[in-house]
Amino acid sequence: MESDDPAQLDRVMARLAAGDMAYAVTLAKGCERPIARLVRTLLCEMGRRDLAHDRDEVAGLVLDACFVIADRSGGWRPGGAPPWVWARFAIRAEVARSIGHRCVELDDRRHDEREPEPVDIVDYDELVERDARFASFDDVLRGCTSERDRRIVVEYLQQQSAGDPSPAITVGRMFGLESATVRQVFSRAMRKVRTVLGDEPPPSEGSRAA
Amino acid sequence: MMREVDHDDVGLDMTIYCERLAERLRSKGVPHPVAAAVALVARGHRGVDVEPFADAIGLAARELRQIEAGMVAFAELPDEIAFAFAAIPSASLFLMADFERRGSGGV
Repeated sequence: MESDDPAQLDRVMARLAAGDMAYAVTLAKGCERPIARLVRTLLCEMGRRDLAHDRDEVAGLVLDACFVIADRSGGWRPGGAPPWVWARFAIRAEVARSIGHRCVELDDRRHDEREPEPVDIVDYDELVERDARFASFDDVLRGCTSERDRRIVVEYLQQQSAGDPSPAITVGRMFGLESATVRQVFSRAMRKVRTVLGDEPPPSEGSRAA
Repeated sequence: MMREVDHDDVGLDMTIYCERLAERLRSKGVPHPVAAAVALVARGHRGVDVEPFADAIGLAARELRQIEAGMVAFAELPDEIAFAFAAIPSASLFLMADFERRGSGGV
């Protein structure tokens, strides 16, 4: 099977959805390259460039990714995004579980003295304009939340994706809200979005809320 | 002449894949997970359904289904399956036999 043949991919995913685990091997063999590319991207996003360059580590994570896709194959629809893109967030979670979260020693002095500040952020509106997935996510978000809550969610996602360790605190300061309120608004909005979109999380929701 | 290197090609090890699949099957209570995993990997590597694979290697489809369902012990694996698995470049039947022995409380 080749990853660029949609008909073969449809067939493999249909067999997997029917519970035939032999096709998890077919998927791994035929789609090794794009899945490896995704795994490396995810590792880099997690700040683990060292592992992204470790061939054996990536190979192991590709196998994990194939099992993740196999476990969710029943929800995949032919003609949609490739399975590894469709299951990107579940694969990311598996990669994070597998490699563990990166830890740094907390310097209490440093953190006590510094107030969290907004970090350089990606331009959400620009992403919505040029990426169909973000546009679709934004449509759903607009449809199920108030304008204020939408702005809170957008700011939260931007801070989170930029690596802000405490997005709820930062966004709370922007809107004059308690961080707990921000987390609640974010969590409530995401639940509504998931009700519409299914299990697929938003494009930039990768890590836990602060 | 320079050799072209594809950095996305990680060279999957089918023995490791087989071990992981066997672990999953074992966790689901499959009686003979290693034998089942070997058969599934052998077939999955060719990307075909049970009947054409059974025909291709000269085994009854019913027997192949029993093996894949984990109803046949590793020691009873037909040669046809063993050869099909061993023909995969990165697959080692020897290592799978060792994995089976360790998993079943052997050495």
